[in-house]
Amino acid sequence: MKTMKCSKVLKLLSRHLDRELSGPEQEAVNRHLAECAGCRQEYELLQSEHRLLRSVTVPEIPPYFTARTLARIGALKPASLLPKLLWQTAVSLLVLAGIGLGIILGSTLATGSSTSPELAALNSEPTIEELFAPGNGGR
Amino acid sequence: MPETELNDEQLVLRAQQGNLTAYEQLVRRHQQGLYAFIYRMVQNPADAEELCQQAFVRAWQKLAGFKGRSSFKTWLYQIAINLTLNFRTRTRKTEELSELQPADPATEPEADYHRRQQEELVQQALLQLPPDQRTALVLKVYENLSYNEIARLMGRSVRAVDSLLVRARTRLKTLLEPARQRGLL
Repeated sequence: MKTMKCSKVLKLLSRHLDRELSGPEQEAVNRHLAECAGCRQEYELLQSEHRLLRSVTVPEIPPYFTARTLARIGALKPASLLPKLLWQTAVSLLVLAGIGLGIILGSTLATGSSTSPELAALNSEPTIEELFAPGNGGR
Repeated sequence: MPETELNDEQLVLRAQQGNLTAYEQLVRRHQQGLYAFIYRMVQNPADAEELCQQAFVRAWQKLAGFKGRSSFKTWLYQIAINLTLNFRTRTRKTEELSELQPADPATEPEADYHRRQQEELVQQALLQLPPDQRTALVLKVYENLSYNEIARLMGRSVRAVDSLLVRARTRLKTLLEPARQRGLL
């Protein structure tokens, strides 16, 4: 079987190292590496870089990390609840205001539509001119 | 059942109801791993502690919205990755490899000195990688995640992760080449 070209193998080395190639790809790369010293050298360099990275140590987590984190959460708790409470209160007030406005508007519209002109005239307050007009007992 | 015997899912459910003791158990369970991951990203113990704390605080604040579509650990790491990437781009500037201050050979045994010097060279080289390349490389090399898992964590495609890793390794090789030629690696 014809082996892969170096350019293709070099592109696959990173995935080969991470075992992310399919079975046939993995085999083809292995065959190429067995025959090609240049690509093998590149692969060994990649492996050595990987080992170097893995050798870097990490310091232990600082003491009292848990306590400090939980204290921070405890301190934030009321603050994080406050906006939620304010928001809920504002929404409740808006809903109540909306219901109130709806009732007022509803009753006004209902009154306006069912009232006859005569009744409307009776209900409306007379102006000063109307009160003192001739025939209304004015001077 | 005591918190120590519960799995992450059960602890999350309790914590979502405001149970801070359950959340404390989640913190204890994941703090060392998360701290190590963040430390590898920022290479500074104080910054790593601060970001690690921020990640746990943010997770607590957002816990009500956690639907359990991924594991708690994956979700926590996503928060940490976002924090770390923002932190890096906002406040840090990478140092040049040439500015590295090597350990003092007079105060340390030769083997320790050599090891510390190697570690510092690698850490500085890692810091010089673009943040997304560094994230992919750290998740691969130290967390040993599959490309699929890295892609999900970073919100990228598997092909993009592959490309990030290839570029990260190529860049790292270039950055470490002078040290290699000087026989330091």
